[in-house]
Amino acid sequence: MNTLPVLKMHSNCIVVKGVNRSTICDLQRNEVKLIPNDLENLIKLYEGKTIEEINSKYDTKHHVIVEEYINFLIEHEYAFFTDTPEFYPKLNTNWFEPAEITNAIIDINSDTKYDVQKVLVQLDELNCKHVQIRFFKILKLDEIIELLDFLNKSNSIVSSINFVVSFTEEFSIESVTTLFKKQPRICSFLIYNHTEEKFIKPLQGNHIKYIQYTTKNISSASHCGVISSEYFLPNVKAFTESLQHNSCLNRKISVDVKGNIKNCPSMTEDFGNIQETSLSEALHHKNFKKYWNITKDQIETCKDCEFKHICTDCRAYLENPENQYSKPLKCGYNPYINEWTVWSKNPLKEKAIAYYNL
Amino acid sequence: MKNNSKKVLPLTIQNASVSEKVNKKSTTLISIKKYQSTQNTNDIFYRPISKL
Repeated sequence: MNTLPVLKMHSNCIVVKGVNRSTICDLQRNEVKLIPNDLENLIKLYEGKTIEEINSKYDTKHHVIVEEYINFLIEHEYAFFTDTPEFYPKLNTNWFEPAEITNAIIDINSDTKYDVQKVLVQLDELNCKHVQIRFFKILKLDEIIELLDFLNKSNSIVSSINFVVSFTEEFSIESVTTLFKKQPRICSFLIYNHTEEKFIKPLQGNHIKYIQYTTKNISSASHCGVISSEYFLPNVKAFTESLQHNSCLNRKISVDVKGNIKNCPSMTEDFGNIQETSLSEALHHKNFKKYWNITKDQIETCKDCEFKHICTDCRAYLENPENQYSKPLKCGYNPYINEWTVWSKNPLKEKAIAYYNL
Repeated sequence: MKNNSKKVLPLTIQNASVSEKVNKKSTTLISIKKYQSTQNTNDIFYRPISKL
């Protein structure tokens, strides 16, 4: 019986292999660390082995590096030695969510004709808790208060709302902060067309809710789909969902500015208009869920990326619009050379940029 | 004589970070500035609904 301690990874620290290098995703601390593929290989092959057994697999001249690797894992609390490894099972990576729809986008501009409150009622019926409402127009703060009051009066299940609004004096830090205090459903405000970039946590002790001011002019749904390390999410829910589902479109439903029901407002295919078709009817259309299970392991380039399971996806803007498994157009990361560039300046993307009129 | 069954380790952890240091956009430790963990609440969605 082997009683010597063996190497064991903490179950919340998961290694993701990329073509050139790997990551350790610490899903409890919400951190990501880059590691060489050699260390990924060592963990994959020799987790559960004693230090002597691991060393025996490598030439003596490499034992210094093996020691460095092991020390790195121990120091960062990614791994530990134990003589009872059976007490530490792997993390259950199954993803389960009871709601048919978990998140929704509602787009509104000055030509929008449909009744937003009716959409919110239908989302409630689908048990959708998280909604983003994007206003591509100048609006009054009162319009937002009216929507929130409606949700309060109807005891809606919608429990977190992200607002995207154009800046006016009504959307000052003070007035928006006051709104956060009165309306617990508000999750965030993204306020565009501002004079400067600002990021504010309006509620003391709450590190999740935020107000973001940006100088960008977010005038339509075509601004969506940006892949960035700022959107990386090393947490259990997002990671496990990404293993089995699309990290943007899974359980999502959207209504665009014209009332068309879509997977995402940036996509062309619609499943009827909200004025004639219910969200539930659209959801049960045979094609509605066709993107839900496209994982990063199926997507070109992404499948070789070390960030694939903490990253979000976009199926609306693709490098090759004819291929639904193509890399997101608005991703500037190249996992083959490990460099980030500005996606819109990449000459290889020019054709697709023109295709989408971006 | 080289034992081919043994693993070769050309990279140290520091070497793996070199290309990252060259590029400011991605650092070895990625901080989650805007979308922090939501595991302490059930009321907030755990990933960005859209990416503007």
